[in-house]
Amino acid sequence: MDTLQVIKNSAAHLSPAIALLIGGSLLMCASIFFRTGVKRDIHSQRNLFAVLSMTTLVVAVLLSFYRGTPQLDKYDVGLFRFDSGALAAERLTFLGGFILILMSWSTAPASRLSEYYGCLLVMLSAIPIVGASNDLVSLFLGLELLSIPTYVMLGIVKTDNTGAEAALKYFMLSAFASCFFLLGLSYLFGVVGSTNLLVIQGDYDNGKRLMALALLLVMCGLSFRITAVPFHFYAPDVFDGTTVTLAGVMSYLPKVAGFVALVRLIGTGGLGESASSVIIPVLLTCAAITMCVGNLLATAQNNLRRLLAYSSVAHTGYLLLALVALVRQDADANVLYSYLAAYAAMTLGMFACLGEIEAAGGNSHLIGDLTGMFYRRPAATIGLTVSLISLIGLPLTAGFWAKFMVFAGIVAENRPDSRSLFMAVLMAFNAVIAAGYYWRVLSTLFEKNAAKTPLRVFRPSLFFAYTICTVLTIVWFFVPAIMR
Amino acid sequence: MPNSDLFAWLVPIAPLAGCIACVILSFQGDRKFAHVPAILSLVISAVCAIALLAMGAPGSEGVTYVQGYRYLQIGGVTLDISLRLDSLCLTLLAVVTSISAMIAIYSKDYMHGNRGYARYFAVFCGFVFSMTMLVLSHNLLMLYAFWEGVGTCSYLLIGFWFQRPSAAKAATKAFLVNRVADTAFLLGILLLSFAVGQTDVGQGVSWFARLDFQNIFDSAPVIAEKQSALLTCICMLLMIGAIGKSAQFPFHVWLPDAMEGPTPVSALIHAATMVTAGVYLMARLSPMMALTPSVLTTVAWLGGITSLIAAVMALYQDDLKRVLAYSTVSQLGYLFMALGAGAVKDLMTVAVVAAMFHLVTHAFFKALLFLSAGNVMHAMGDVIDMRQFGGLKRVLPKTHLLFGIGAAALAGLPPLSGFFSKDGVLGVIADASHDTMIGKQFMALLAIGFITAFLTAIYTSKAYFKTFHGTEKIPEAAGHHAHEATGIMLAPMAVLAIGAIGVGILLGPTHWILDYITQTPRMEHAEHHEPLWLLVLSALIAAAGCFVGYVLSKREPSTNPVSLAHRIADFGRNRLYIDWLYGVAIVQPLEWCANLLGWFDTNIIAGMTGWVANLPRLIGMVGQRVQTGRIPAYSYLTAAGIAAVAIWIVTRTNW
Repeated sequence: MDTLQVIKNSAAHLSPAIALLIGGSLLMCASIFFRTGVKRDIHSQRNLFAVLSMTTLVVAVLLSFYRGTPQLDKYDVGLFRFDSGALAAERLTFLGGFILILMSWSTAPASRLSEYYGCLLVMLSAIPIVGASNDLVSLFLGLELLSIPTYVMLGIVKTDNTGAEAALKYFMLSAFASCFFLLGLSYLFGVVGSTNLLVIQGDYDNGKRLMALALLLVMCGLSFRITAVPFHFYAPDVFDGTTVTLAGVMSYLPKVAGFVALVRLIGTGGLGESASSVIIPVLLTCAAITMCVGNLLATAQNNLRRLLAYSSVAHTGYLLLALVALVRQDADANVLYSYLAAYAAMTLGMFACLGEIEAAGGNSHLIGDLTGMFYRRPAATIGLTVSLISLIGLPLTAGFWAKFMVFAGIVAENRPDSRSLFMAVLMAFNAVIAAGYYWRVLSTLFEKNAAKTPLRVFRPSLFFAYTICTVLTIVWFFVPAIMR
Repeated sequence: MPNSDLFAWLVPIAPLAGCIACVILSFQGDRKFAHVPAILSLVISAVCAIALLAMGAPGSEGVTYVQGYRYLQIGGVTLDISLRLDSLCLTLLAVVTSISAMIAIYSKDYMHGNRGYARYFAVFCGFVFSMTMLVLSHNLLMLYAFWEGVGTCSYLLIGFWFQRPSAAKAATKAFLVNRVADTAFLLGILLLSFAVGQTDVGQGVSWFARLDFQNIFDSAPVIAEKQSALLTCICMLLMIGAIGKSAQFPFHVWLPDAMEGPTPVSALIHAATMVTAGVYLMARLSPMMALTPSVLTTVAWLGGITSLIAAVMALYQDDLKRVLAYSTVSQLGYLFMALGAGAVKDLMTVAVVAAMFHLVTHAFFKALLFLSAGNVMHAMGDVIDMRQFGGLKRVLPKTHLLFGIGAAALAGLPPLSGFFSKDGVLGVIADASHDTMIGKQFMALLAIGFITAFLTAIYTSKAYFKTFHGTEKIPEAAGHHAHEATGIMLAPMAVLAIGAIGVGILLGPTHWILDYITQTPRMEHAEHHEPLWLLVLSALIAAAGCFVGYVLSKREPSTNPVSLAHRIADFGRNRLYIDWLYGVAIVQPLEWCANLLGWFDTNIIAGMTGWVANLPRLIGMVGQRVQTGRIPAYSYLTAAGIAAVAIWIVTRTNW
């Protein structure tokens, strides 16, 4: 097949991502022509930009329906390859994008609407690109397409000191992590002599010590995106310093991109003996430390944002175990993606509820701020309750199946080794610790509070966002088959 | 079969939707229109159930599976949610849905103005959802799940007025007694799954699919041949589950107390539908139960004992609702007696048909009686003690008529429905008494059946005459506005009354129900001859009982404390001291143990767990020191971490 044909086909299959990218770029360009500011009618501007972004997303979804099912394994040679992993990444993007745009509708910074939505759409376009990449270059391109708009978004309000601090921290540490990533990529290229991921994966077992180091460095670089220990340090500071919606963005999009990139890099075709002797121990160790650090530090928090940041770290630990199960081919191929989907519903639902409480005039920075919230804002509190129960992993919510599948995957029948069992036990312990601090938040919501002024401001977009998340969380428990 | 899938799914899904709608309404405070979604959904459900019945949904093979969806697939275990339609389950389904729709309509006015109006309808619909799913289950484990579902709804409705200590206590009692029985049920299910796995049928089938009724029936003969003791044990455990839900001796204690709930609930759950779930379970599993005659004989004896003692207790109750409650227990005893007759070879199907027939008629007339009692209670200002009112014929003329119909049906007066179905039960026991092996036992049970029938007629007519005839007496609590119930309350009762009159003669002598239920696979070979002397005798007994009841209602109770009659009355009023015995023999020792363990828990365990629970927080606080907020520190820590892992990996790898 000639190169032109490959490019044409790739473009057809990547059309949703391309649509998002073009839409984002156009929205960003709009800032040149479009005067925004306090003098204008801010509500109609918010509506305009949100509707434009939503339209772009809908167009992308429609394109993904109309391009037809990609013929798998046909474009192995190009920069992109389309398989079930790529499709899953795309669906996760649509799910997250839909909820995030709804959340942004009334919370986006008024003075920078076009830049904000432009950045968001570009970030969304990055994940399908990462998910479909079949080459070190396209992988790196996709990841940078995600991180550069993130820097912009975090620092979008220039007068906000804590936001600026968060943006700077994120930028510096991200650059630091990218160094490792690039170093690893160059070693990989040096060892294998190709940038094609399939070629590289075929070479994993050829037994070079340098290969181990290269893989390790690449995985470390990706650990930053997924907030695995020891790259988690930025998370609490950034979550604390930015807005609720951006915290939601930060908790979801980079994580999806990081995990999708890890799956791309390691491959799901089964690992040889020597490759798995490097990759699996690193992943397991990283998962163990990440879970423990996330949960232990979260228990000590009174600051809700930091608590959620550490909870996001802890979930990375569980997700790493799901990744191990996926890589070892012990579980369903969708174990990681369904966890991410459930995670999207519960975490974004949680942030949407907090966003609504803040938009209605309440405060949600400290756990104590939520005291008696049930009597002040019942609807949002019910959303929070469902999300928290799902985060704990109790039945009647999607979080239960997500955790269950990880457990089942990590102690699969053909894995009698003690390390896997130990990981399962450790995860169970961590789940108990996590239940402790989530429960603390949950009980605070229902405590009687002296100040019972109801919060009455209604934000339809945020309400829809968390209603969708809550309904999804519950429906996925009863119909787990659609959680893919 | 056109659209039978859709109808079959609508039957449970409509009440579920109604339940969700009412839950949402209950969040908005007590909305006055919560009954709209409830009644609408229940009527849809009833219409669909009757349509299924009318269109012959089971098809030519006698059973149809309606595919739902695959709930879950973990490894080799798949959980399929689908429905099983056959004539046995459709019979019960039609009764459950139509009676629940009637009672929901009745509740609209009865519950009017109560706190928790929406909550009431939400749980009501939830109950109907669980019950229909229970009936439609294709799998024993799925049945168990909804078995617990109806138990939960029953608990919530008994304790509907939870501010009342007696209601809260009654709810707890019902819950705990059922828990004991359900534990046995669960053990039975697990053992059965194990046993089926041992047979050829269960080879390579996951534990969930093994509990499919089809697989159970396929493997039961093999188990009976190879491990008959195991099968007896399984059936015994399952039987305990059934008698717990159906309030049979020794689990009968919870049902009379359950009358603390609203009266429509007593009518629906604790008379017509939920308590018959045990009977349905036995009928459903009858192809397996038929292989264990010893269990069925036990069932028959338990049913006999229950029916007799409950009738005796009913005789001495002053509370109208409690009379009806004990009579329910007693009639359920009849059903179990009938099922027990299946112990005799080739009689199982006839026994099931007799039990199902009486179940259907009983559902109609007992629901009618409870709703009439509800009318009385409504008019008398929540007074239900028969000593405080009397002669209500003039005040409540329509209720008087409706109660009269229900009472005559319960007493077994021809040609009302109770007469035919009770006769069917006695007939099958009479058939069983011809058996050479265990015929003697059934001879005794037949005698018990006749005595119970006599007692039933006595207490029914006594309650009827005491309430509606004699000198008019209205309690203080009723005020001056003792009035007949509204039209919306009376209309569904009229429908039930038509059922109470007509269902028996429609289904029994025509053999319709016999022919219909025997279409169920594995329930063929039904031959049944009803001797004429039985019909005549039971009609005479009913008439005699009614006369005695009339005489008793005129007489003042003897006040002489040493007289024998007074002693017996005392015995009956105190529920034969069975509740007291349970309190002394079971509850109190358990409480002592609980107190001991409670002390241990608060003083020793709590202290230890407190320490363990605080440990993560302490570690976290120490760990927080690392989170300085300074980028250089973060970078150093990150780099150090990577270096450590790199050294570890590169040195251990043998590439």
